[in-house]
Amino acid sequence: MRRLSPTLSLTLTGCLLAALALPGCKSSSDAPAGGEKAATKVSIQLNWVPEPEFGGLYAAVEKGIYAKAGLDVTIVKGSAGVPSAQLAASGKVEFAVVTGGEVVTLRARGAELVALYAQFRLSPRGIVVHKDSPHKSLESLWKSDSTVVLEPGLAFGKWLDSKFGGQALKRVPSTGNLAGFIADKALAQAVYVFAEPVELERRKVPVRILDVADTGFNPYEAVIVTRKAYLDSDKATVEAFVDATREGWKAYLADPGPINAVMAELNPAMSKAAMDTSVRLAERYIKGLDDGALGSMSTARWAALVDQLVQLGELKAGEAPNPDTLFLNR
Amino acid sequence: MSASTRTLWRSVLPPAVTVVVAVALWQLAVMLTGVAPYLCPSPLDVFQAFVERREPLLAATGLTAAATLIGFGSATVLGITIGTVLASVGILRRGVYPLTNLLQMVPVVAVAPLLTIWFGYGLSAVAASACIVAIFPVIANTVDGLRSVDPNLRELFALYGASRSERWLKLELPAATPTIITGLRIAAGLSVIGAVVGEFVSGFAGANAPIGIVILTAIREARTDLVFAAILCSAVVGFTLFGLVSGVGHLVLRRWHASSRATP
Amino acid sequence: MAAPHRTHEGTHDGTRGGTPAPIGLVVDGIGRTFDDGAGQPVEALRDVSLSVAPGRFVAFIGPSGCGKTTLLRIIGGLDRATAGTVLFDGGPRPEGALGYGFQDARLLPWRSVLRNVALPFELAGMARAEREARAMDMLERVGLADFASARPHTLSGGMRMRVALARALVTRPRLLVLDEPFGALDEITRTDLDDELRRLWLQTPMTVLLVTHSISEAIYLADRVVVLAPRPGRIIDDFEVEIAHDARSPDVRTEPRFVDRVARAATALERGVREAAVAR
Repeated sequence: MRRLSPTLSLTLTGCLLAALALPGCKSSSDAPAGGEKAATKVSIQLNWVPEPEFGGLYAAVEKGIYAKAGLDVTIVKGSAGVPSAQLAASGKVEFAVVTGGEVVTLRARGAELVALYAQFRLSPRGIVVHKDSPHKSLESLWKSDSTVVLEPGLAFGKWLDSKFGGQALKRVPSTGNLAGFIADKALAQAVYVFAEPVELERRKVPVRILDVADTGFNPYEAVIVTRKAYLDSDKATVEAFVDATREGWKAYLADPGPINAVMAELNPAMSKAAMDTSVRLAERYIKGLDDGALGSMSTARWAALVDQLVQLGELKAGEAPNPDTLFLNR
Repeated sequence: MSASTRTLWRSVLPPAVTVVVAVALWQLAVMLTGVAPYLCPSPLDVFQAFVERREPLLAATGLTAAATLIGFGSATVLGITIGTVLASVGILRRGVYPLTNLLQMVPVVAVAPLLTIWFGYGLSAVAASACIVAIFPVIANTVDGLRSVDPNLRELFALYGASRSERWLKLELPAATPTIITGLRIAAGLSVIGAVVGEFVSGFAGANAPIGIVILTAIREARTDLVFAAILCSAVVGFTLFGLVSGVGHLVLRRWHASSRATP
Repeated sequence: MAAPHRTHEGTHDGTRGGTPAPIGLVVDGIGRTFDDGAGQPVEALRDVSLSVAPGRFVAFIGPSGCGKTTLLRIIGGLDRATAGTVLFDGGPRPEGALGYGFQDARLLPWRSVLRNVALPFELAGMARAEREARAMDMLERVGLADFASARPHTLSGGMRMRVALARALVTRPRLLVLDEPFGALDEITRTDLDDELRRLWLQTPMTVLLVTHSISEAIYLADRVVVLAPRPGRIIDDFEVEIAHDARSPDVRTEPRFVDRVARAATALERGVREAAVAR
């Protein structure tokens, strides 16, 4: 092999995408010359493979809800390590799904991201261990020398470290599949509590779920963001997108089966049957613990997250953004 | 100034000037366009990130260098062995060699999760990933080198009744050495890439994390400056190994081979 | 026609016990047919027979394509005849008794001159100290002792040939087979090496077969000259030079007896080429 292999480009993907994605105009957001009736083309970058956590988006596409709102939406699949927040901040895509923590961190680094819609109003972060694992709590796991599959750099990992130590714990990156966990009885793995555990049970791998939100770290998750410049320049499109997304989520929760069939096609790692079970478990996290509207957010919750990230050393106090400016409810 | 010092300057100065100019242009471009540091940091940002995180970065560089060395070392031994077998056994060469050329096109990212399952997390899987990427140019160049030995010299060895193993050790291997060293130099650069990709999948995170994990973490934290600093650290590992292989190659070949006598 | 006077040394031949005797050979009815690659047979040699007495120096000359190199390679065991036999002292080719020299020096570029010359011994399994001592002796005999540790690429073409000659002779071969060994060298270097070769042959009990395309070199060096004609390769003349070896110096080339021998060879060569043209 005398040329550099394609793996090099993967090595550099994160930084190069970010580096090359200089802020610029995307023509897709401009009104087409044809007239008012032509749909506005926008794309949304996911931060993971298609799963029920994105069900509302796929439902809004499949059921023509976006189309009715005058939007032609392209959903871009994600994977482990895709820098979706940077892609949105640089204007490569109009919208992106990111973690709550990333909204705050990116803002602190100077990226003008605004949260529009919290797909999970209660954090679905959790860790699975095998059913016969000696660890019955996150505290016990974090104080052991076990190995946990955990995407590096996510804030909740640091939160657990700050709470329980975790000096002896070994952390390895996630590749988005469960083969390693199934093969190794001693492994623990970070999951969305309604997603992977269902697939594991279906494959006759009994597990125990350890909830992260219970430990006091409960940011909004799978948050849809856009760039502030885009919001300012085309507020009508953004509002239409958020409204249609909420309708998409309602439609998905009412009848998830057909949408799950579509997503299972796109993600062979999770079966439709598992997604059908999973969406029932997800409802609690989607709706959240209060009776606010789907996707809606509060200043208090964002403020709590900002404070926690400062405590964790993710941001310096001087960098902490004003929680009110982090999000826009519709 | 002696002739050799002058030669050294002539070979070191031009690339050094290129680097200085490129870094200056980069700094200037970032300052003029005012691009946000989380999208494209300036060289100064990268330098500051390196200074700020020098301890974890140096530890990461050490870990990645160790995995790279193990991967490169095993690719060298296995690659020359496999190359020798393929070069000397015609039926294997026709049957297997075309496949090794196909195999090298399988992206290591696709194989890396399997390596984790076979070798577990950590050093062995990462070194295996480095080895897999690095081994193919070693095999290809070993086969090429052994196959292109001057037939007149083969005839000479036949005349003096050399055995097969004597012919390999005293004729084919030395004659193939320049070609093999070229393969090893390519493998040196590739093995770092293989190691970092392996770490993306199999590396241990935490206080003592290798370069691949530092890059993943920094991307999530939008620390693009740190991403660049980490990439530079991995490049240093690559350049160092490349330099070592070239240096050893030069020492081995300098008494007789044209590639080590010609001035660049 | 008398065997030349020799000063046999033989002091380094302990392994063989006494002075080795030169080989005499009988070539009988040799033919060689090649496939030209397009399925057409090409007759390189037809019915070549000659006998060479032990210790003689025989030169083979002929135009290119006359099969002289093929004949030498068959005698040396580098090629197989399609007809006929070669006998060495009445038997098969004796193992390890032949030395070879080629048009190119065929040195291993990564080895020093000394280790190149010691190679035949090394491949025969001789201990390092002994083989290098013998190689060093040989290098002294060809005047290259000062270059023992040099790599071949630092030497001139003539010196490289001298190293190749040393390697061919270091085993004290009983038959030396030389295929245009000095063909690529300039005239002065070549004459120099010719004198060297003659000197070595006079000091060593061995038979020499030399292929050359130079009539002058053949007559300058050999006891006997065999002229080959092309298409198919065959012997067209075979004569004794009959000039004493101690009388041969570069000046001999202008003497009438030398010129006469050259004319004879040239005539035979021309006749062979003419006959080949008519045969077409």
